[in-house]
Amino acid sequence: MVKVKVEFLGGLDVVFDKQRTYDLDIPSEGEFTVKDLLDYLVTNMIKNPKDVEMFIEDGTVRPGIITLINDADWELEGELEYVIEDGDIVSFTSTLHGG
Amino acid sequence: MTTFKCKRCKETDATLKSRKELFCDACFIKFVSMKQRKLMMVDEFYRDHFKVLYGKDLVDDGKSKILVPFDFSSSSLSALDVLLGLLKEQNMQHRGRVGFTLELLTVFKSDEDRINIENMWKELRSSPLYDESAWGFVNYHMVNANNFFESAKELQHIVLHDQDFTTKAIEWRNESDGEYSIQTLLDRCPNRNTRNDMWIFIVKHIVKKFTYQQENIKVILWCQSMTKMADQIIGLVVKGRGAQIASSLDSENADAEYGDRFKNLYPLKNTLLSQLDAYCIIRGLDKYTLNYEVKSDLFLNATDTDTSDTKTKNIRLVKNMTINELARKYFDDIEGEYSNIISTVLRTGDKLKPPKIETSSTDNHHGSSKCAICLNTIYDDPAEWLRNIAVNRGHPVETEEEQSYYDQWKASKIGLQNEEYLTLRNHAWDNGNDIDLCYGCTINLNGIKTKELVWPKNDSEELQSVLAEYEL
Amino acid sequence: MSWAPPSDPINNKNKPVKISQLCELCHCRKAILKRPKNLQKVCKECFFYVFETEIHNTIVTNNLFHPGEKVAVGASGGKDSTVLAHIMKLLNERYNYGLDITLLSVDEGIVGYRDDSLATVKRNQKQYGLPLEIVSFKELYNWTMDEIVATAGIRNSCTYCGVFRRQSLDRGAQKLGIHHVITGHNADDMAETVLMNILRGDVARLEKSTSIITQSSGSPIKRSKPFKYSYQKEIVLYAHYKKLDYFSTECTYAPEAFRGTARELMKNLEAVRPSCIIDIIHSGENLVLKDSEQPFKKAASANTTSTSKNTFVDGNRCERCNYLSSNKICKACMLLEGLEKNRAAITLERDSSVDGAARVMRTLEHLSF
Repeated sequence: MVKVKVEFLGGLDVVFDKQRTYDLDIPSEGEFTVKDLLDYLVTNMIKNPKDVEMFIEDGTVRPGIITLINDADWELEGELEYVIEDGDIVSFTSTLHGG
Repeated sequence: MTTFKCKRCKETDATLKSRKELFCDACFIKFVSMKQRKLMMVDEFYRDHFKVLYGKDLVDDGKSKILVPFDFSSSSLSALDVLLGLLKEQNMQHRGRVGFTLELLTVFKSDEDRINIENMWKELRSSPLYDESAWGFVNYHMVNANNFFESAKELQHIVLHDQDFTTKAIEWRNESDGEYSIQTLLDRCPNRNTRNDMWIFIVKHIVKKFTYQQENIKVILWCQSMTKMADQIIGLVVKGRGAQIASSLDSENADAEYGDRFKNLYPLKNTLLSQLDAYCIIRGLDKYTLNYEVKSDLFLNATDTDTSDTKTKNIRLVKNMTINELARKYFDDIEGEYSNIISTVLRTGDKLKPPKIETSSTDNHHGSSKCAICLNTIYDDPAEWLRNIAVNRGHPVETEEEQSYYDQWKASKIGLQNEEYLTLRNHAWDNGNDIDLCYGCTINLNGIKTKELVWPKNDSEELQSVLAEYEL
Repeated sequence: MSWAPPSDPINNKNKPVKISQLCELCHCRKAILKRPKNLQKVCKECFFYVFETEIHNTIVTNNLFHPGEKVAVGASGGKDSTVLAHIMKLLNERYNYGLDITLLSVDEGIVGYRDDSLATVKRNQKQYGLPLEIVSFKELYNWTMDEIVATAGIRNSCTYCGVFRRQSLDRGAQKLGIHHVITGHNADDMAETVLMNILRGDVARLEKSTSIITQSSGSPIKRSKPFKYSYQKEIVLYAHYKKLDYFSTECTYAPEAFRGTARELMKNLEAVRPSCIIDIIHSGENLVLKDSEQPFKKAASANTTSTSKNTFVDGNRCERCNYLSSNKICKACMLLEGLEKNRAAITLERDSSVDGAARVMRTLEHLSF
């Protein structure tokens, strides 16, 4: 079981039932990576399969969406391989919406 | 199945469709070769170099030679095919006289490359497509890319200042500093993109240097398709080299970077890559390609499974592609119906001229305004430009904890690596010469971890140093 | 609509920082982002410092303002203009620019989009203590965007909206006696425009696409873009870390299809070469047309005219609305005429400023990626 807070910002909440913040308890054994988290989000939390491409491209977060792990750019944290710890906050912010 | 007639001859059944027009094989070959021939005769200078001339019109005693960089792609194979066709025609019409001879040049990276190239060349030479007399007007040369460093009279170590983006060069001695090869250089590039940039430049330099050293070669005939040239234009824009677009397309003026010895001609610039691929397939040249995959997209009988096959091959991770490949992908995604985008890009490029050279207010050392790496003219001061838009100072240390981190950093391997760089930098700043880089090369160098590279000192002496070549 | 700031992390307070994770500028705090401009890893404090200072540098190097100048920040409630309002207030105080800043918003009349974003602007007004002026399409033209789309269709919505919004900002500023509107156009927008103008061969706009100051021909109102060299990603992160209150919902009417393809290409390029945005701008600043290709100045009545390169002043007024225009009838009035007369689709062909090559754009309208 891993406890993680997920936030969808910059308009990305529309893909996730118009809710910005989720406190998730995800059942897992062993290491739970950001890659696992993305799989979980896609399988369990995107209602409309057509919306998946607004979030995921080529097996990773779509270009134009900023991913932060505890407020740090995920590029600095190992991206998909980062192992999530209890209490981590992962946020996804779309930059694609109008300025 | 319904058949359509060729739009040109209106007799034969059409076999392919290009830019919404239906062609039969024969008309298509004529169509593609006429486009190339037309550009080879675009002005008096080029006409005189390709036509058979007599008497006082004779240029260079009738020994005009054309250099063709040859890489066994569909573009170079089809260009050669058209040239051989023209030679054959001239030979017949003028009883053994032709207007020009061809010097083909291939640049290779490794022994393995060399063997593959030699074998393929032999196969092409013995191809039933051409009779022996045609080859009498063709010489084939090969140059090892390592000549780039090996033939250089003097190597210099170029160091970029990590704070203010200026550059200095110090001498590099093979004896004490170690051998420097193409592989050393490519291994140090941070990504495929920079590697590709460096490789393209090295090949281009070798081709031009080779041409510079030959007598009587006044024309380099580059085999780039319109598609490839459009990729390159977008590539230049994306790499901050927009100022170079005009000179990269210039076929009117002699190449000033190489002592005005020759002009660069791009006779395939009105032909799409897909058209050249189709040309090769019809002529049976597709079996002579190396490291190149010919696509049969234009043919009417190309079955659906074929296209879906090539589509799946096209899907590559965007992250692993180079800038030029991404531009190509963009064009590929729209080329089918929207091929006019490619020609629009090229036409736009043709409308540009080099910008005015802005003299920098801050430094006065500017003797030359050529980039020490890519040899292109420098139009602005990239260091100053970068300093203005990217601040390189941070927020001061504030707490004890931060001070302790700072101390740890200084003592660490990263800190030491930084020391190593700083030592080199200080050495270069104490003993080196000022050199100028263009914006694109400054950015490339900044992307290399150690912010330094070794490069031939490019001056007239370097151009004289002889390239070792193989002639087949 | 309410707004809640993003959550603060709770996990990394006590964790020791590895040396390799330290900021590359101060070497004493944990890096939290890699700057796309130069790939530097920086901490939050250094990020704030460089982000703000670079904008200040842009303002100073380009002499954007003079002391005592009255300026209007074009405020949409979106991320760019929200950060712009915040930064302008901050820099104005830090460096004593002596500017008199007003927020200026346009209400295009798009239900479910603009009404919500205007609520954000009204909150910004209070948060920053700046005066706010709102001008509306309805009030100026007697048409809302919703009505325009219902009449002319969705295809050209961006053309109408662009023309009307530009004029509305001018009129709003003039009403307040302000001659300078600053907008939140960022480096990404600018790079995208350069790329798009090359792809569609829009030669008339190519040279000026990177001008930091532009002025409609004969107009007393100039526009500038202090974010010319600021990355969208950094603007969004700045808003995130500073917990700025911004609105982010896509406009109901999707952007022009061709711009969409250019945007997609840009995002792919950026993934491979993060610096490409400033690289493209650097290129754009160096694209110069051959003398023979200089478009006739009249034909090039694309709205922007670079003040430094092109001193085209004629001071004509539109015969209909008496507003400044380089043509007999201003663009807005031409569009209005089409709307009124036909109540049907007016096509781009009527728009005299769109040259032949831009026709490509139309054939591409329906292209999707």
